[in-house]
Amino acid sequence: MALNININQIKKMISDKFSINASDINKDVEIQGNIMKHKFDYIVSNGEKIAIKIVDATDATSEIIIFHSGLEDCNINNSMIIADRELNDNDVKLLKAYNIKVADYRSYLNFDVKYGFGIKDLDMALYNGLRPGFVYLISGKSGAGKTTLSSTFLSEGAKNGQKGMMILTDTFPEEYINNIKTMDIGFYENYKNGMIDVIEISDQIRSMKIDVLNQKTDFRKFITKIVSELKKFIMSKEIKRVVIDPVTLLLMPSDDYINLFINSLGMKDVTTVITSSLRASDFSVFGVEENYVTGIIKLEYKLTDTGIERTMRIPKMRGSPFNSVPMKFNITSGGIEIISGNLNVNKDLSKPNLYENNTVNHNLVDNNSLFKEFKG
Amino acid sequence: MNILTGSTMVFIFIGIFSSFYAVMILHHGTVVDDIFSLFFWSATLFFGIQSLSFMLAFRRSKYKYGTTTSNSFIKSYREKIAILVPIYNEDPDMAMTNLMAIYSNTDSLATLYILDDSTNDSSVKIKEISDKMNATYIHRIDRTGYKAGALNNALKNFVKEEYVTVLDIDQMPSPDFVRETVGLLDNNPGVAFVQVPQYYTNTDASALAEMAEAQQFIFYEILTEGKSVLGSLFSCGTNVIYRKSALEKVGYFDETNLVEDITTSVNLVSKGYKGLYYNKKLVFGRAPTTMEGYINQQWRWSAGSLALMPRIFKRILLQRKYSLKMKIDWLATSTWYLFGWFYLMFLLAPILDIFHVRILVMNPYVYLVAWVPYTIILMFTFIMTHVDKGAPLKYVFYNMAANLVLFPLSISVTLSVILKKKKPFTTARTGGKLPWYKFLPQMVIMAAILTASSILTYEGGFYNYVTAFWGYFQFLLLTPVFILNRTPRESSMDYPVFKDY
Repeated sequence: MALNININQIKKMISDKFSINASDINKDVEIQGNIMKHKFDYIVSNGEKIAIKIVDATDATSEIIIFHSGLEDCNINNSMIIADRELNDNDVKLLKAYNIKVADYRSYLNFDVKYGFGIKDLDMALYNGLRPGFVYLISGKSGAGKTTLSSTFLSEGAKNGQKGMMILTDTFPEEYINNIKTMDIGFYENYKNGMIDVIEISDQIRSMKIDVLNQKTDFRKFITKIVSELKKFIMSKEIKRVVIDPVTLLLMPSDDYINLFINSLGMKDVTTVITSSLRASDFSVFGVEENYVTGIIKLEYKLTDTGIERTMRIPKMRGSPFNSVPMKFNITSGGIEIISGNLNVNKDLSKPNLYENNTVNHNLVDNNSLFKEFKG
Repeated sequence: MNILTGSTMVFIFIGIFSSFYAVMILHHGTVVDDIFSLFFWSATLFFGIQSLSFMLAFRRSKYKYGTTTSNSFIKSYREKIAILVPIYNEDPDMAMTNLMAIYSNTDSLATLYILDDSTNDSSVKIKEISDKMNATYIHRIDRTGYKAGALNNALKNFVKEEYVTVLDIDQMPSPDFVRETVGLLDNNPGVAFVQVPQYYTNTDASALAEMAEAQQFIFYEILTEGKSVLGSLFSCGTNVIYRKSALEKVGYFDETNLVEDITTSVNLVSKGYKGLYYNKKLVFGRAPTTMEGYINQQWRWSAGSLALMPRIFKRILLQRKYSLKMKIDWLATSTWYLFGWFYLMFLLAPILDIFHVRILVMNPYVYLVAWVPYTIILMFTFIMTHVDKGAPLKYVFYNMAANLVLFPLSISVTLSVILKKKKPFTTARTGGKLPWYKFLPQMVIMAAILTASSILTYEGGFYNYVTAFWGYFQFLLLTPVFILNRTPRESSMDYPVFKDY
């Protein structure tokens, strides 16, 4: 197989061609037919089996014939081939005769795989979620809901079969788990069944950080050490969603350091979410973290006479359309519930707001204007 | 400072001349005295050349190096870079950790090739992880050409990329290693490779590891910077990125020598290429922590370098096209591992003195004029260069001590190279503490020096005092032998960052 195809692209092709929401997809499957064993590139086993062949030889005809004989032998009725070029007339006729569907890989190249939060309005505003391979920031004051939102991100992944990892830098795991248990977001269940890992940073890393701060050792060594170990965890446990809550304790007040650290966190097929409280800027503690992440979700709240008014907005989301209209939300025992913003989001979906550079419009987070907009 | 170094050469020649004069014209002394004098002054000349070359390197490093690496602007790198990781019978856990680091810190920019020559069952695990990383896994059954053979096999049959990075399995690149180095190759077409320092991060594991890092310091902070300016840089086998087309021109890596890196560099230099040294700590490695591992490493380096001497003479020193400064540098490089013989000479001096075997000179004053300022200048410049580069004073001591402690190794390596004896290939990560009898030569010498110096002090006299002082000093430098051969502690580099709850 020469084409670099991911499962999500295949899911999309299956849903386009067969109108099935495929979840059980296996790669390189051998099936015993009546006569002999046959190997298929992918097999989808939701309901009736679908066999998938990826065509890569210049002469597709013989590949199609062999594929078809395998299908016959194994009694598989539904099948599809994936090709990254135009097939010639004979091949097209052959495929029609055999009733094999064709997916053109090129039309799925830019199919954007995204990891959602499972919070309808938020996912809509993000146009389905966050992209794997990139690092996102959830920022907000203490009590704004950063931990809740990022934990929701992990449970949503776990519900969809994606393993998650929560890295705690400032709380004890016991304490965190006891707190998150009280919330009905499915986190605890998935933690118990091994879909979500909870880890904390060691004391040694704190002393190593002091060495770097005292310039006893090179900061690159520190980053290399942390990032390598983190990725070792991610890879050996096949984790797809990572949260570092909060990232501040792993950072140092140096632009170069923060730049290298955040850029290094990105990993193929993995979405990394870091959280940060506010100090130097409206988004972060050191005031530069926001520059190096792919996107930002900003959480805010205001204490009012009747209680607390929470809002969430997306000021930056590189390389993807998004909606930056603020959404009001509540944190309840059921997790995060968006209570307004629906209308605006739907209206705005038709004209995506595509930011291609990393400029952050600071006016957006001006508290006064924000609430004026809401009330008005 | 280079004026000082230049002047040391003058002092040495005064000494040599006076000895020669004493032997030939005045016929002082016995045959033993003659041989001893010859030996003594050749040792002095040897260290004179070494220091001259060192000082020139320091000068280049200080005044010229800075401008050579400033243009690290990145044009492009994607799909151009191959990372080659040769592995041979490693501890699978360590291999996995470091492979993961190599993978995670280079993956977005480069293609990973794992060259596994292992003959034990570690291969199974390495293959497994290699598949997970989507790396190209190449397993050879015969180990023809050892590391160079493995690299060549990959280069000739698999690697399509334009640039080739070689990383040993005990090295962890930082996330910006590839990005920072490739720009330099892109911008300098005459450069065959870019070398970054080997930096040992586990120096807290043992005194030996710390001493090894001190030795790296002198090499990577001073010598290589100077060599890079001059064009006499050789690659160090790991933490290096080569231009594949340049390697092609010299028939890839040289499989004939234990130090394939230096040998290949000599071949590249003869083809008119040069190497560039990029002094930024972008790769983090591990020093040998056990005496056996350290000796293995030093043995391989010494034996390889000494075996390479004839080629350096033929290809560079005896060629007209190279400048004098280039020749001085290569002369110093190629002869360096002979150092044991000359240290032995200095170690023997106080001992021979009590038997009244002395260096022949016209008279003691000429000896003092020739030798004392020379020694003082040498020590002074050696310390100053370290201080200037920000080394702790401990490193100065370690660097003076390291070679003295290793003198028997240098001698035995020289003999095996001459006798063409082969030793099985071993890496620096094997072995443990060595039995104490292996350090018998050092201990015997220490006892003898201490006795001789005490006798000389007792006997008195200016000449005796100078020699005795020298004896005590060398005794002090040999003392680390007792702290180096110990079982290592766990390094903070190996502490876990995260705890699974």
